[in-house]
Amino acid sequence: MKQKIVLLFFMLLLMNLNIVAQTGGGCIVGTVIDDAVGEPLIGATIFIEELKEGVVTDEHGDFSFSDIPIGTYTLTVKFMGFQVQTLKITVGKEHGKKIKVRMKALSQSIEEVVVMGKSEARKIREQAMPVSVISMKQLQGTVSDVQGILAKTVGVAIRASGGVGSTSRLSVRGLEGKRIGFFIDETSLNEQSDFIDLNDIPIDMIDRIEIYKGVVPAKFGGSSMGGAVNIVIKEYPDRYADVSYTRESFNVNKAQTVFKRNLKDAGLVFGVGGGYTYADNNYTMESPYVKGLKIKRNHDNFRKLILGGSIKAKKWWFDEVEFEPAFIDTYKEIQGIETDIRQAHTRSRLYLLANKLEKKNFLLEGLDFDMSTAIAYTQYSLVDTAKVWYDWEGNAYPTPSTIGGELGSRYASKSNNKKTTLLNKLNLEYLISKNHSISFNSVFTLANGYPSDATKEQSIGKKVDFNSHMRSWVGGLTHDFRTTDDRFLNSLTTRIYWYSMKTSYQNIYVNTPVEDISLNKSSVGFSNAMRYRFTPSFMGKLSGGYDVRIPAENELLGDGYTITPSERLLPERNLSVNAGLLYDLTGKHPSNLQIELSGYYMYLKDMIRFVKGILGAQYQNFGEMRTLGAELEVKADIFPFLYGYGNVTYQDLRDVRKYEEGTNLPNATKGKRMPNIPYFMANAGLEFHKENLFGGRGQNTRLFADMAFVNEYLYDFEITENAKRRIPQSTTIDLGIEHSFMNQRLFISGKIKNLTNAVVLSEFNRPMPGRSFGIKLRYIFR
Amino acid sequence: MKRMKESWQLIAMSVAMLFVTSCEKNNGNEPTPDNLLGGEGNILIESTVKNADGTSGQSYLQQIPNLSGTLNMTQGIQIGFASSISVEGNDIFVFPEFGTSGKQTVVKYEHSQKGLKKVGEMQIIPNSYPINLTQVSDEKAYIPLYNLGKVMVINPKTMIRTGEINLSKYAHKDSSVDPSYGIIRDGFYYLPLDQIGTNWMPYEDHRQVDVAVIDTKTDKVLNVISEKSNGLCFPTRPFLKNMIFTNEQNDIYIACTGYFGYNPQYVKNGFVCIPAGKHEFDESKTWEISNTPIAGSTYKSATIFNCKYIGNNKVAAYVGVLELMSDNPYTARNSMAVMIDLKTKTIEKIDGIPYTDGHSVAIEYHNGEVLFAAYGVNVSGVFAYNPTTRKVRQTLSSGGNVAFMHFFKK
Repeated sequence: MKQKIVLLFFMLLLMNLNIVAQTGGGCIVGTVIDDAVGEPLIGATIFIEELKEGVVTDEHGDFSFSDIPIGTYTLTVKFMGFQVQTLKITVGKEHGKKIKVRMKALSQSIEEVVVMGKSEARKIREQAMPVSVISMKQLQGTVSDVQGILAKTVGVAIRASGGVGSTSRLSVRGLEGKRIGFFIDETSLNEQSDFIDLNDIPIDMIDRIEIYKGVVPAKFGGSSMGGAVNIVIKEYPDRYADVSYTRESFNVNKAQTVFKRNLKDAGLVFGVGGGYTYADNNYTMESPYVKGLKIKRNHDNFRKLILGGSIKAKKWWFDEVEFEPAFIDTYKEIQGIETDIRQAHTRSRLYLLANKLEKKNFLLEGLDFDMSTAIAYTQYSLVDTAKVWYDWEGNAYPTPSTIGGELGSRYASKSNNKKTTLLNKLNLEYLISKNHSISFNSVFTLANGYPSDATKEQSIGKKVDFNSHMRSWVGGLTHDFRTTDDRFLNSLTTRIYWYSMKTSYQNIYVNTPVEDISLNKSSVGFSNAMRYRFTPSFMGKLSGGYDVRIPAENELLGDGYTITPSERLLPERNLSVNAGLLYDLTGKHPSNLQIELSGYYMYLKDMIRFVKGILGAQYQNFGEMRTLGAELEVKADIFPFLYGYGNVTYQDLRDVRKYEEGTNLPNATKGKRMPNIPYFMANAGLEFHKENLFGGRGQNTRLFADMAFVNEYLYDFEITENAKRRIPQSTTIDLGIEHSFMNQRLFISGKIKNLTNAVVLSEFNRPMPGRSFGIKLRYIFR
Repeated sequence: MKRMKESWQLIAMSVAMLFVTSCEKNNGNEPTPDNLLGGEGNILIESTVKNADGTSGQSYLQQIPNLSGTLNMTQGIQIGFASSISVEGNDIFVFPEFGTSGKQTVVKYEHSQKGLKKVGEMQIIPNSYPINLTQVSDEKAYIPLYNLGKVMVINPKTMIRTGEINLSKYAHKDSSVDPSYGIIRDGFYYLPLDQIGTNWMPYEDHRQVDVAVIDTKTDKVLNVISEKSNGLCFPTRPFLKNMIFTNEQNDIYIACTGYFGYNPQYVKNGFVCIPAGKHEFDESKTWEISNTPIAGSTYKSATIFNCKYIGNNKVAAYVGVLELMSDNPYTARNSMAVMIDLKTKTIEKIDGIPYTDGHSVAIEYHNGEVLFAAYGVNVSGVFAYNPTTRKVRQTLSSGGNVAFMHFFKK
């Protein structure tokens, strides 16, 4: 600190000397502010590269250079914890306009770096974890959705099944589904993940996306395994309005808006926002089952309305109190692939109220309190009452049940299911000393399901879906340590897992008495993560853990639509070791080069796996699986105007069961690669950006090209050499342009997805859209 | 300059990243008329490697020269999960797996000792569940469509559909009679109808055996005959050829599965008979076996999972045992190998063959031995039972379930 003051004093002295010494020429005057909150940054350094002159900002964030010779200069602006900004300034004889330099916090403005900033105590924990951050810069203006952006990340794959609104699952290091935590501002949405999709979050509201791989930080509550995605919503300036409209091929339309008002004096921030998506998804696909049959998708309409609001108070004893109501209404037709489904659809309505409380020095000095609670009520239904079903030649056939049902499940449905959920997450963190802190984390979940489907009962002749009550709690205790010189960080966590489930079961085949199911299970897990900084730019990370994941309520009970219940599902347990090396020149070299190499090992027992069987899809335990993986990522500003990235992921998931289930027979698939999971993926991209490329002022242009490659993988275990069912290799290229006017107020973006119209099949051979176009208009009032 | 050099190095790395992805692509060997697949031999085997749930997994078709050693599936042709197989002469018909997720075609292979040659493929109505083929002549065969309640008439030589027999009007309560595995006798196609409800089980108000009698010359339904005397139902399982058979007197016997041993309140199962020269049941020959003691066992039969008539009134069978049912009917080892005597109406347990699950219930009779596929807790594969010596030996061991066997003439 003392050194910093001396440095500051020295720089101030230099600045004054410069002012005194220079006469004649032009001047550069400006202010440096924090882009996120609009506050001035005091002590930021501004350096003119050509003149080797520097100044620091004053208490108002202002700075000035005078008597600068006429010409164009490169200004480098630096402030600890923020991204280095480089500006080109032309100095003329006349007085130039005062420039405003908006600094973006380091965690918000660079691609996939270790999260930094925030309080020192949080820094201890976060820096040891393997985490990638996708920044606002990557998100801004793009017509991509969240999943499209995530898919470019090393170690991440999106398991989509169709167009907009289709079922899709995020896969991190080959693990997917409910085990990958889905958080918004650290509030878990896993229990609602059948109703809220990653893509529901408007890109323009997102500050950054944090992707945790391997060990998930304790503050997320330990309900995740193998990875977590946390979407951090932007902080807004005093007045803010953002309106955008996106139009894409296959009649996809998205309108989104956000309004924010920050009453600084009252310490209140109000916000409302919403979005409406309408998509026909009427792309033409080739049947994966009938050679040469081209099908125009005709029953894949998707409509979603999202309304949300927030009130954030910063002066109500807590440092921050926030209430967020939300409403989501979704309608989705079911597209047939094998048969021509014409009527079946789903509908859901979700009402959500979330609350967040934060206070530093809560009750005692050094104790940080952070609690979030969300209650939700959901109504959802599947309507499948068509009396006939059609083949793709237009021939009609009566449904197996006289009551209807064209989905091939032999019964009709017209459900009116209801579900209530409550989630409470509490983090208490106590800073013992500069080197040590301890924290307690708790996540409690309650989920009550009330299925109702008189039509299904009538067609089956009995009730097979029953009310369910599930409770779960994960408690964790974490100790964080860091050396005074910040070279070494360590974070050790132990967790307790508990859940109970009460429901009933009725055999669909015979009229045996209804069986009551009551489960009560608990387990213990631990994890440790450490980081060592060899040099300021080169660090190593090592983490490992034994995690337990409680089955999600919808894994146990199905989704009420097409996933059948598996009431006896066991928790899955994962032993993992992650190691990584990071060479990071961000802020230290103009290239901002980052090279990260990671390797990991996982041993998963009772893996919960999504399987499609002859009688429907469901989640099942799968004995034992081992994963060895490696990831390499390189990214850099190749030139000041050109950013490039590339990454390669290899994940080798193998069946390691010695014996077949419940037998002493050798496992026929031991050592075989796990089916239906991609094992080799790569992404690469270039982004060209230049201000006023086409002339004018206050304009910025970005041109980007992204390539994604997924190697062929098998639908099944690789037992035979002949006619294996494969999901073919795919290489897709996306091109995009974004042009902003009026100092980043008006944005026009365009994108071509899948430029070469490559045939892409997702898991279970679901055909994905071919080439598509999108255009987006966005205007920001501020 | 240095910066420029670094930049080009970065570009080179990016390009390398792009091209590192271009790996060799191998699409596997789809059987074509020009290549022989499935291995050498005169024994055709279908094996299944199932997932823990028993309702999903993968299946393979292959040839082996003899039933010995351990089954190696690496030469197998992958087919739909638990696909049914019909063999007529040297022609092999492979049907799609149940449901809609597999390829919706019937594939025809031609057997030679050297391998299997793909000689035809026929598109089918999706989810219609064609499940077996009964050949009338070289140019005519019947394929029941289980989910549609129809019989597709095809030319097995050309694999072209030539007609259809609609049985919908005989369906009980719904649109499909669920036509199962038929047999041709004296120019008539006797086609058992399972008449199941949405829960895949026989209707409780229709516990009877229905058989459609179809004139193979005209493809017209002569009538549907019913046997209601004993409450037997679910005549034949649609993918098992030998549950309908004729004896030396040309009487047709049909094994009835009932409720698969799922329903403790209703375990009736057994045989019905359509005597030679008649289009009606002989109720006196109906034998409901659920109360018949099984010699060598304390269990009784709650269902017949499969059977094979080996002559002289003897039927080798797998019967289902209620007490051995587990939470998961698809993986429960509740099938017990027995010998049934239709004349003396006695049942005897065959010792030495493990209790098996539903994926390994194939039974064949070859060279004087009854061959039982079985998937036990400690051993799996094929077990040979000699009816004369009453000895059992394991002839083939396998990692997966042996689901189907056929012996070609050499």
